[in-house]
Amino acid sequence: MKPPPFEYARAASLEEALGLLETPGARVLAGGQSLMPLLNLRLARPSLVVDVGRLPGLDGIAADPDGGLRLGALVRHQQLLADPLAAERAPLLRQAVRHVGHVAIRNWGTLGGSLAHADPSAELATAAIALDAELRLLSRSGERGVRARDFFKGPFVTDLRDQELLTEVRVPARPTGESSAFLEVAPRQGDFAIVAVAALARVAERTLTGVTVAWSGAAPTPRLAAELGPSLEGMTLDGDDLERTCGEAGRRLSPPSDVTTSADYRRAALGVLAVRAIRAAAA
Amino acid sequence: MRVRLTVNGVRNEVEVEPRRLLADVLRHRLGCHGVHLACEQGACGACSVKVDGRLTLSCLMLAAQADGAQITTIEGLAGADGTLHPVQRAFNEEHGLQCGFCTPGFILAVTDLLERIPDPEEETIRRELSGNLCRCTGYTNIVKAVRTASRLMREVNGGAGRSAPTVPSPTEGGGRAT
Amino acid sequence: MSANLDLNPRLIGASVRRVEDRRLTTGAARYLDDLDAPGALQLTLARSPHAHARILAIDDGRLREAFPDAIVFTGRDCPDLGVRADIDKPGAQHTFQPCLAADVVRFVGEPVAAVLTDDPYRSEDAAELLDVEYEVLEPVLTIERALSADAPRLHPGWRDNVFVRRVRGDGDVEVAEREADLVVRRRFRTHRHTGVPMENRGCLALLDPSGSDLTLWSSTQLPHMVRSYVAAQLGWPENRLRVVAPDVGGGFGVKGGVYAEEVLVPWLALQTRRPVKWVEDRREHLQASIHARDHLHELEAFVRRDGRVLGVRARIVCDSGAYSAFPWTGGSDAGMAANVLLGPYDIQTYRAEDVSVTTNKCPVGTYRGVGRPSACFSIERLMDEIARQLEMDPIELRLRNVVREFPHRTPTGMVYDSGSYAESLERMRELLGERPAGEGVGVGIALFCEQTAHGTPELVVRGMPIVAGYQSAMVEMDPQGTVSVHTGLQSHGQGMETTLAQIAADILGVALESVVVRHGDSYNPYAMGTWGSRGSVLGGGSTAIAATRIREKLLRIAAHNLEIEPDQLEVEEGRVRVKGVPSRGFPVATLARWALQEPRYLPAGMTPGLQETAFVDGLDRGVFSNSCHGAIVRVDRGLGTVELLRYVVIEDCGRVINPMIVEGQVQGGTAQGIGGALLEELIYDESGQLLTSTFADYLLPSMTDIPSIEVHHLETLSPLTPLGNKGMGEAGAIGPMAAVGNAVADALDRCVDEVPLTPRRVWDLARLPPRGG
Repeated sequence: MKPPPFEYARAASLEEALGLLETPGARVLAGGQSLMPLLNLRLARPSLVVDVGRLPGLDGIAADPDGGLRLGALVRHQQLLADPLAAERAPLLRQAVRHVGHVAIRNWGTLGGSLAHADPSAELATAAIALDAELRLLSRSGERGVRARDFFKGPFVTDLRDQELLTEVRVPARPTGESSAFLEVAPRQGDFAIVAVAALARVAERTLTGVTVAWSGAAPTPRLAAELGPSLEGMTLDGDDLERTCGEAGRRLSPPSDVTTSADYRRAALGVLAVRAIRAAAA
Repeated sequence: MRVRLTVNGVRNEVEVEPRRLLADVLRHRLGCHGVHLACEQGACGACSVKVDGRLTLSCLMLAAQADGAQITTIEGLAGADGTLHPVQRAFNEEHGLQCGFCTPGFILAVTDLLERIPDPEEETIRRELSGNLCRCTGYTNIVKAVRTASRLMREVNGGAGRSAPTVPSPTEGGGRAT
Repeated sequence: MSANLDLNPRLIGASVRRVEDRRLTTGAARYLDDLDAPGALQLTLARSPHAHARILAIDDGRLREAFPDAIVFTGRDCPDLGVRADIDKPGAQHTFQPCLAADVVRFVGEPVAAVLTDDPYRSEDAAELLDVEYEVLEPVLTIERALSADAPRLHPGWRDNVFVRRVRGDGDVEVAEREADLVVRRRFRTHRHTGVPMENRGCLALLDPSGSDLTLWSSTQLPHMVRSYVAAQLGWPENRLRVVAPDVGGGFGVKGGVYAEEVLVPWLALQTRRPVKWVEDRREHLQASIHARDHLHELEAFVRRDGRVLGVRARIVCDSGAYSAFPWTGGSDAGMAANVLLGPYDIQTYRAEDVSVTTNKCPVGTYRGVGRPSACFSIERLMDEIARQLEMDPIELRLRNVVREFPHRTPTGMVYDSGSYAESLERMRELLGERPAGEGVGVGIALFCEQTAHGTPELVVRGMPIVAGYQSAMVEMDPQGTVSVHTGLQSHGQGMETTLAQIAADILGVALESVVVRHGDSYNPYAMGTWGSRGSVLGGGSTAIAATRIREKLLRIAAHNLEIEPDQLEVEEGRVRVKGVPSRGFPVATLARWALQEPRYLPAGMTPGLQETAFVDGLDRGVFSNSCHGAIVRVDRGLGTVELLRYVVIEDCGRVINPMIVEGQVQGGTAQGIGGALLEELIYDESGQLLTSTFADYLLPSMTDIPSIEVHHLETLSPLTPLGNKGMGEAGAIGPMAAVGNAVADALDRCVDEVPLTPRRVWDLARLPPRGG
């Protein structure tokens, strides 16, 4: 499989990138780890590939004065994995990204690219939703912010408009004492997740306070488990209240099924995984 | 378009269509037949090279993207006098290859791994190399080859190692659900 | 067949490091896609998007407008070119697989046109512009549908959709049924998967400038077989066709057949008078090379209360896909499974019916183990079910049923020459030890024997187009005293450049470095190529016999010049010398120079020359190696995931030429078997599209899926082979579906009847009511 013909331009600045994106049929090439497989299979046929991979200033991880984190869209997965500031302020991102592909893919794949590509099982999307991150989108007419929780519209479909570029991800300050966990079921290490759960929790004397759960595989896109969080507020970790509640939450879902995985499986597996992720976060 | 690629220390300039894969340019224009294509999807690691020191799947990179880069392929690992790199020696010593098709990609990945983690345990080896597929060996001897290569390289470096890596450990609340 | 040769092993039996590794680890190997010829045309095949359709029209107008230099051929240009592999059995029905479909397409991915330009990217572009009009027909996509009376007939003139039906066995099964205290009936399903070498297939054909000699490079395991078939198809003199396998990146039997492309590519070279190169990509490989392992077995075991199995009745059905692959045929998997189902057990009453059906899927061919992995899954799962119902230990049950006396004749006429079945079970019990503690842990074993190095009589019985299984070697020494071994084998990972050199070096008393092995070339003596676990037995055997003849000649030349008898001489470290008086003798190189350049030093009546050729046929019904596999798993009931904690293999292949290489073969085969047990499945949708056509969906085991595989050797020499060895190339792949299946059944206390054991299947099993419910 070889790519179909297209033009190529490397943007040296954000302005130039935005200008190039005005070409009909233009597509952004960041790390290439999602776009290149599509090109090689001829599932994407852009007229112009706009290489934004060397745009300056978009690959930083910086502290937000309010205690949160700002990550440039070109932050590479492997960079995120090793970054001490990210480890301190948003460890869930690291926990999620270690499930993404393998070393070579993580060397080039980008945070922005992953979020914009919006694979229905994307780990970083699920983590971003749990963290209530905000995505900054830039176009010639200005900049806007969209919550990760509102960004994913469908499989491979986001709120990103044509000619818009995702430039930054902002993670708000997380409450003190919060821990996180990210668990998934995938056929092999690094594969796309069949189901995945991101959990954030605080614990006081074996009691949960402030639980946030996001999951993928529950719906056509990664999603916040909106009811699950509040229903766990004040729940004890002892006994099986947690198992029952998560199990019921899973059973209420309408997950997609496909040739290898049934909706029934996903319902059950998500319930089980939610319990384990919350217990791991609380440990 | 003109693309400049320094491959194993040798500067090249090639005229390529934008869509040409780095792997194909390395193989068919620059004589690096040790770079192998097995899936063209980034799922097998056979095409692994180093681009500016970073382990890279050359099937998932346009030659144009690599303009100006320093590239290392399997052909660049042995010494000019033919002395094998310790990783190459270790693969032979431990029978870590059979048909050889995945081997250059593995060797590049192993050199990258040992630069980052000089003395990895089996579990780390398996996790870090999970992006390289082999159909012949069943992997047991590849793990041995990495352990032997690690020892050979630490001997060469006089036992000097690097500080512990900062990758999260498997027990850190993450990982596969078990 | 000769009895064991007299050996003084020095290199034989040693884990000699491989000579091929230098070029393979430095990027100096040259696989098919690394080859090219000036002016070569690059071929892309336009392929059917439908599983079953009639071709109404092919229009290349848009193609020619965009690519005026492109050359296009369709099935109309070569209607008689293709592959036939007729099954020589009563009632068998035959297929013709065209190089380019002209009339009807029968699986998604079947080639319909050849498009050639100077560049592979452009050829792919051009092929997309070919307009093919189809009338879509109803596809047949399951065994059930293929067997139903009102299903469309997929091949012209066929009565139904069955390649061949056979019955075999011995003894009265009805008596066994009446006498049984317990009848265990199960239905087992191993799902379609395949070998997937890391290197895709490819060909390059080149006509010499005079136009009279044709060379075909192909990523194949069988150069001579390809040569004979292609020469016949093209009407080309066979002595003017050369087939060469370059370095081959894995085969596993997937490259062990003759493919339509191997006929088409040289034909295109003849038509265009230019070199023609073709390399498939991974999607094409998964769609349109060969598939395997698509079995449905219905078994009944008639058992006495003490655990003795009195008899087995079996119905074995295989989905063999759209065409009969050459040379093994569409009946191969089912026939083999029926033949070997009883495994290492002393069961004398057996009746098996095997049915091979055709469907609108990729043709099925021979992948490492062929019908044996599915047969092993069935019988070993059945044994565990019997043990469970009798509340007996699974190893104990097997010990009560294994063959202990040799030779042993089975109800299907196989003769086991020697083996260590009971011994390997006892050893496995020791090695596995106590069951590890913890939730979800399960232990499973699989015991099997494997027919290897079988020869002409066995192949005749199978009714295939190829009825020969011999191997060949021409060994020659040159005036420098260095040695060349020209083998009819082809090495694609098995290390034959080293193992055959070990044999020749030991016998000729020279250093390993002074022997070179040439393989994979039809210039070498005619033989059948590499398949069927026979390389080291027959290839090694023929090398040994030819080398021995040269050694004897060297001894006679030396004896003549020393005026003593040859039996007073030995060959060591490159010298022929008097036993006990090492200073008296000659360097081997001197003797070689005399034999080739100075015949005055030869004894009267001896002709010059140092070249010997030997052909060694397989044993009548082969020699039988055996293995025992043990798997310890941890199953997560909540998620259906299976973790392999430990995997142990005990293998017995008689004398081992290179223990390191044998161990590597076993570990590699085992990993493939584990893939079939847990991960690999070729899945078609209701319209016949292959859903698993990239490595994102067809899942090969990675480093985190396979534990370190422990391999233990037993050595029961075969009395029948020159070197006392037996084949071991395929065995690793035969046991894992059974061992892992048994382990998961043990962990869940449920019947495992189907592989691969994906999370969804395991989770479904865990929710079933307990057994007996």
